[in-house]
Amino acid sequence: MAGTIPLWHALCYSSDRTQFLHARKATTTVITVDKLSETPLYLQLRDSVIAGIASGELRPGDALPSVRSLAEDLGINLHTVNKAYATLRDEGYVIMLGRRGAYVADAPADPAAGMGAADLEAVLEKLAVEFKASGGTREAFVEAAGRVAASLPEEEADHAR
Amino acid sequence: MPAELVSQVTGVTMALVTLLAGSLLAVVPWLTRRREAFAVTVPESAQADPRIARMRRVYLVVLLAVSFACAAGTYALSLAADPLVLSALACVPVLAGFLLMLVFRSRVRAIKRDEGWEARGMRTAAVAGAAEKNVPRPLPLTWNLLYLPVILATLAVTVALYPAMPDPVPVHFDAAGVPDNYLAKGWQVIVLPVAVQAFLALSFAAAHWQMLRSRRPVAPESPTASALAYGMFVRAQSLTLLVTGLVIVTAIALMPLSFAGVVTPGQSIVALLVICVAAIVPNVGVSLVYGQAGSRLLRRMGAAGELDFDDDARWRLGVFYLNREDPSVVVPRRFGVGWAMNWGNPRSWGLVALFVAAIAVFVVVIELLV
Repeated sequence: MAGTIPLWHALCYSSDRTQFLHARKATTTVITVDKLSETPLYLQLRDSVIAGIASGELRPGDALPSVRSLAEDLGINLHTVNKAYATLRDEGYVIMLGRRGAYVADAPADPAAGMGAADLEAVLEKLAVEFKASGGTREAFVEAAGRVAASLPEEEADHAR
Repeated sequence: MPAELVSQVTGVTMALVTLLAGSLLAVVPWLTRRREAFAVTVPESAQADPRIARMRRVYLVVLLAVSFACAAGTYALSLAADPLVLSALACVPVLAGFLLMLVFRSRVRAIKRDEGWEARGMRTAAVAGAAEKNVPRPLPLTWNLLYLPVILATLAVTVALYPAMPDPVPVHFDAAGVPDNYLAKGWQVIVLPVAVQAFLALSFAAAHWQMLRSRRPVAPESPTASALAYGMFVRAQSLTLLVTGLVIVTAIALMPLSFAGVVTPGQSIVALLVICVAAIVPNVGVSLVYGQAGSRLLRRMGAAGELDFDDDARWRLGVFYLNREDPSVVVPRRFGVGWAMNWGNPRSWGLVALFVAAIAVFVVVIELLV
């Protein structure tokens, strides 16, 4: 990340080093939204932040961008960003300190907060049913789940949810 | 200082400014962000397209020719003509650049249609967390407080020199350095330089505020690099703006010095012209070195072949941004170096109206004083 690459080097890219940058893109905290996607914007935002937390790039105590600056940088409505941050707060990923803004919360002490095993199974069941209805097989589902799980970054001991 | 020399310097300075401004406009196609060519969103790899490269070269040649012609005209007419005519002539390169950009913009759009360069989504991005902390930021607005000691020092100098000033005080000079307007001695003479400095300082502070308030553009194709490059660009711009502003506002102290006869009007005119032209050199330098939004810092990076975001429809005539859904008030310019307002946001209109009102008030104040 930028913290580990000296600023000057970060800007003197040659084409083979961009491979390095693209490979690291998966772990850089970039909040991206796609206005043409079917997923509502606030959910895209929420997912982006959660991905950042999962990868370890967003550590507990890190400040998230302010609502106004994020809305302006992404070109989306302030209410959308507010809703996303409120969703993250309700789910326990983020704490809001009034005017100071939003900060990444610690891994919840209460196992019921965030996504627990029961929630995960519910979501997986929904996906499995939909996949089967579209003609998918059990093997393909398990294989795909395995691939996705393998692509997640390594967990750190203090970051386990 | 002989009147001949002063009028020569004035003429040369006007010609030089016209030429420099026109030359900077001529190289704008090389300074734009890589995802934009002549105010059209294109994939970064399209910059290498020979048709677009040729348009850039033609733009450069035409604009340089127009600038040279206008500079020569300005120099030739500097003594004889009305200042309004000279200003109009100095603006011709800008108009030519705009019109030529529109012509090439329609050609690039045609190429874009033929090649099928369509965005695969409407993705925008922002960096967060450690990335956001590491990105350089513009100087805080409080640095503009440095203007206060300069203004107060000028006030002190004016008050100190007041007894030495003649009555009436010559306050305006023509291009040859001969006084053509006088002011009776009184508090107006003391307030005049301070009023000018205050207005200039406010204008510079307003420009600084624009930089702070701007949306921070992040190219979804290379988010971290573009965020870093933009951060360095805006920091450099805010720094040179502050330095330029302080130099120019300090130079206004030549006014009371020339009122009191410490420097001759000719000397003060020449000094003021030289200082003002020299003061804009760092800004031109930053524009050339960094490019718009830091794009030239990334020129050795591999070019993305795909488009993640396309907002051509929001840019009217290529350069006027109008997007009601975008909460931004200030956005980086599309064809040029610097920032522009989001005309779809009512706040922008309010701010521009405020600035126009401030200018009107300033003009009225000066008219009342003099």
